[in-house]
Amino acid sequence: MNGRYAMVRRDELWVRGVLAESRLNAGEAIDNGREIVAFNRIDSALRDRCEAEMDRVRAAIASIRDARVRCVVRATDDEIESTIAITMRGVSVVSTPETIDSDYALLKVCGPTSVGRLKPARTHFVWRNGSAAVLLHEAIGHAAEHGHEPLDWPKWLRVRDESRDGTADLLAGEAPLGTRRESFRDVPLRRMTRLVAAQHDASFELPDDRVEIHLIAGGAYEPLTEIVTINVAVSDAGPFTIRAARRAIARSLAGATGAPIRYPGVICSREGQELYVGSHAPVIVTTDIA
Amino acid sequence: MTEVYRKWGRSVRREGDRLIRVSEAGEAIDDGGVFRTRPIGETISLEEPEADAVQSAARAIESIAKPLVLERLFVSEANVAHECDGTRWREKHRRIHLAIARPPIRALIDLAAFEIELVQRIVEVLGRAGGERDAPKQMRIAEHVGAALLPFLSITKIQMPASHDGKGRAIGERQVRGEPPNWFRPSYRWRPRRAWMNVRASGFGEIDDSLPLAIALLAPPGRRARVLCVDGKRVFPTIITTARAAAAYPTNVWFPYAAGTFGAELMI
Repeated sequence: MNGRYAMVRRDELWVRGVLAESRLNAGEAIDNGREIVAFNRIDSALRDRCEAEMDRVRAAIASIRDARVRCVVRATDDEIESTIAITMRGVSVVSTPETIDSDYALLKVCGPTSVGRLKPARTHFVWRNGSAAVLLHEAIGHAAEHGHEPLDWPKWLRVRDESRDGTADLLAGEAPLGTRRESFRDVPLRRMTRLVAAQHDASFELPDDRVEIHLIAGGAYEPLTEIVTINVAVSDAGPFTIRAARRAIARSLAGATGAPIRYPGVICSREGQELYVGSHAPVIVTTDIA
Repeated sequence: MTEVYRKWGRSVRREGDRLIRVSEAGEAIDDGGVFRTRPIGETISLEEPEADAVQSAARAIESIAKPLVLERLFVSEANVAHECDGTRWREKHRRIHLAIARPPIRALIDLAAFEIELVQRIVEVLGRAGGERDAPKQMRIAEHVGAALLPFLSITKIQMPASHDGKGRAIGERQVRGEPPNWFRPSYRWRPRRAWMNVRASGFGEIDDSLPLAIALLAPPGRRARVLCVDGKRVFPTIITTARAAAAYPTNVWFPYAAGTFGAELMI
């Protein structure tokens, strides 16, 4: 097998409307299945596509003057991917030129609260804005990437990964079908591309005594212990951390409602490679997660 | 004043079961406002790294780790040339980064040489590890674990001299105190930052060789560190607080922690 992979990537950091950093990264990798030979080579057609897309991204962020904005455009033979990470008062979302207006508005509305980092006493969590996708990304997506056995998830839940290479049923333990890499220097790995969680005929009841979760700061899956960690950035109880075994998370899923909602951004880091993963989930209620 | 930094590199690394050969060159231009980086076409002659040595070290590690789970294997060698504002210098790097697991415990090993003996020792004790225990009241810290913990320790530390920092300036010997005078630049793509480089513990006290020994890191280092402790026949994970040490003995082995640290046998 001889695979050629070429990429051009431009990333820029804008701080309060002023350009602070700009990087061009370009190269090519030839993969014969055992060895990868990677080197700098700028594919001029890819570079032109990358720069044209970055012009579009700059136009999309032009009006943002009160945040730190990192824009990344990556052009390969297969696709152009644009992401815009906006950080305000320590809280971030990851958006695209198409969704930047609504995500920026959400970030402004959802600003951080001053409540401490203690886990709230209330044990019912309502995961808004598609934020349950992050929980399921860690508990189901990464478990599938590591080949961990499927669990007894609620019958109403569906979780799949969509990529150009096909759709994987993550709930059934199927690993993502797409191989991805951050740059031409990296080894391609089976990684999630777009996680979509959906519900079919789930029951749903809003508990009176609940915490509403709006934005997530980050998450992790420890493959040796199957423990999931979720750092909640914005909720009506302030920021807090959830740590639970994925079995406990499977038991905690109490109900869901509506269609999948796009969550504004997951940058997933594994083996030192950071990749954007699309994330969608309905409003989900969890009870006694840990 | 605009600063221009250029870097050329050839590397070979084993990552898992794949061998990756990379040749690249790039420049960073900092005009005091915007930091810009890009690849450059200019080439210079650089020796091909020793792929056989990389493969041989990787295979030896795979063989040693066999009874356990080799979660992560990075073995690399790189030949690098730098240029910053007219100063040129060259370096050769060897690195090993390993995560070896005996679930639910994971040992992390970082080395700047293809020294496999330490990996062997850690694998042997990891295979005998039992459940978590409280840290002994006093214990020794092995030199490679001490090197990782050195940035977090409140003891007298010395920056050891070397020919070039990330801006091509000489690294002088001086006590680690206040703002670092030198610059650390692990990649041309990242802004250099001030850092203490090649940090060595200043020796003091006497280490009691009969004490239990922390032989491996089980999580990234910090002020509280999870380590694997060997106490006679017992081997167990434990958490230590590393703010202070009762004795320190520096060694001459360099480790790739922070902007470089030397081995430090410690008693805490």
